Amino acid sequence: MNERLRLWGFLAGIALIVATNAFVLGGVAYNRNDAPDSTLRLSQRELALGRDRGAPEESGGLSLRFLYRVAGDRPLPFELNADDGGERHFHPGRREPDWLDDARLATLGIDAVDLRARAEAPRGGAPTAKEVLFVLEQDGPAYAAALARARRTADEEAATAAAGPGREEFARRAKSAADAARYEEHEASRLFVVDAGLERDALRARYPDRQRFAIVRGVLRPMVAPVGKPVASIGRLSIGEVTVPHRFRQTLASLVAADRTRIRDQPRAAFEVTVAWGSRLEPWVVDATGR
Amino acid sequence: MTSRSTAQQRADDIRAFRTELERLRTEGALVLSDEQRADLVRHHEQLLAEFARSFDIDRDAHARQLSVGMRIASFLGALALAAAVFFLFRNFWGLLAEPAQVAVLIGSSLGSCLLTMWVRKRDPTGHFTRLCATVAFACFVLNVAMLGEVFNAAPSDNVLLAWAALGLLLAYLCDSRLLLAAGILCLIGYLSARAGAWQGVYWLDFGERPEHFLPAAALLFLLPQFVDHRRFPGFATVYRVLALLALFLPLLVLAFWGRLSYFDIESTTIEHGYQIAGFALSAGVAWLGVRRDWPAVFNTGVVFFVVFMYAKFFDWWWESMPKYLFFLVLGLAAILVLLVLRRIRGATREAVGS
Repeated sequence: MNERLRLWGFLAGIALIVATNAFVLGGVAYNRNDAPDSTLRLSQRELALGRDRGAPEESGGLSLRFLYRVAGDRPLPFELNADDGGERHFHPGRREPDWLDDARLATLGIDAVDLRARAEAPRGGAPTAKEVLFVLEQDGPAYAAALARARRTADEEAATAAAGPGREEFARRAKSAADAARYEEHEASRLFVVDAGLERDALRARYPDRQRFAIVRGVLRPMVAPVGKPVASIGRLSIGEVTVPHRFRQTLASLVAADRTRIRDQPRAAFEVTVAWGSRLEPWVVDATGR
Repeated sequence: MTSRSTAQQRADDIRAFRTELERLRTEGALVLSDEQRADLVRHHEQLLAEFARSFDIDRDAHARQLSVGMRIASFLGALALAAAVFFLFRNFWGLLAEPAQVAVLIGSSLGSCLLTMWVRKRDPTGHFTRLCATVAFACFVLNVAMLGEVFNAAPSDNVLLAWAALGLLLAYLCDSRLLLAAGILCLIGYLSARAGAWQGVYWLDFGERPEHFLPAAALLFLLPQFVDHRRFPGFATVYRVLALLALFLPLLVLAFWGRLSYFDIESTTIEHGYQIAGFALSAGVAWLGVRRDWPAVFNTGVVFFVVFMYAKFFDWWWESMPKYLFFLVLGLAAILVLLVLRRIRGATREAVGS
């Protein structure tokens, strides 16, 4: 390779670096250019420290993970008890909601009948993970329903325990249900996936409140399952973490660090973070305050 | 002579020629006149001096050994420096505001690329150039990945294409097989993700269908046939071996998990089909390696033929046979492969002789 060609090669490399960065930054600017598509005010109940925590001595960036639940989810295979409180024991559930029925799956391009037929004999060609749009609801009817259900269960268990005094099993279940209701009321995430679709405008028409409902990208996971079992689950959010900008990092880092080291019965460090989603449905932190 | 590797190859040939000429003279098979001998020596010395001046080649076995040591040191140094850049960013990342982060990321990519360009002119051996090029590639990978993280950009398979482009560009500019392999792996990732996306699979989950790798494998295996790589020794081999890995590893998975295939037929039929394809293709690749004199291709074919065979034996007999008998069968199978290969070797020698 002669020197002239080599020089052009290096210049092409530099042009590639510049063009790639321009492309990425242009996408960011486009996402944040217009008014946000949605803006949610979240707290320590809906946000936890990101997964890549790094070594304690490192001053790495701070990111927060969305702790979302799924409306109409199937119940957990175990009961919450007093030791399960707090983010560190957050369990996302099965993520197999009842609203993700055959008709809804058909609108998402997934044939539920075909998936059930495949359970009879293993075959190739089953559908795979697919990126769709999810609707996230913050502190809305889905949370109200979950809270009402937890309180109802606590009341029922308390009544059962009162009707059969001296039965240790009843007392234990009543305490567990009361703990679960308390956890639901004060600590559980209020951020729920309530719907899924392919058309953004159609979803926005159904959920017009941009301060309560965010439309985000996520992965839907079809499954081969027999009749009576769910054939799809909410896989994950495509962007499941949001990086905290430098100007809010000091405030949040100390709160999050305090929360990680708190003793179990102490109250959690409280903060509020406003997250916006832009025209490309990419999130960013708009504001953050400690409480 | 346009590259160090071709100059080094010519110098090695001259050294081998001199050794053989000396043997022929001792055996009386070829005796050159003093004049011929002097002309030959003068010509070779002129060539070697020119190569040494232009490319800093290894003129003898001792220099060659040292050169291998430098190559290893350069490889390890490049990896260590790339890791140092990563941990340096990680250590001080939280202290920087976003504009400074962007400036550091873009500056490190551009700076390391310009440094590679500068070193390239002053480093005839290429060891320092390759080291700088590897760091430049690592900086660019970090640049794009961390820029996406800072601004919460949606993950995109296009970054694989950008990484592949810079990796391949630097590999050809700096004669680096390590960067070539990195670029090819990114390209395999990109092509496989695209193949998946065209079928409606979310690109990050393209691994759910191992067949996504097959178009990339075919394309990369054929590429050295259409692009002349004689000035880049070893590059064609890297293409072929990585393409074969992208072919055989998915075949191996599909041969035992037919449910992962695109074919909408019974799993067992798919598995049997891919097992037969695995045996046939690995044997075919080994044959092609012998036929075209591609040792690495031959070795890859043989290795995967044996792997397919062992995997099938495991499937058939691991549960039912006593373990000593199972491993005895494996050993006997290996001996059988050896006998077949010896036979092929003999046939090849006869063909060359005739």
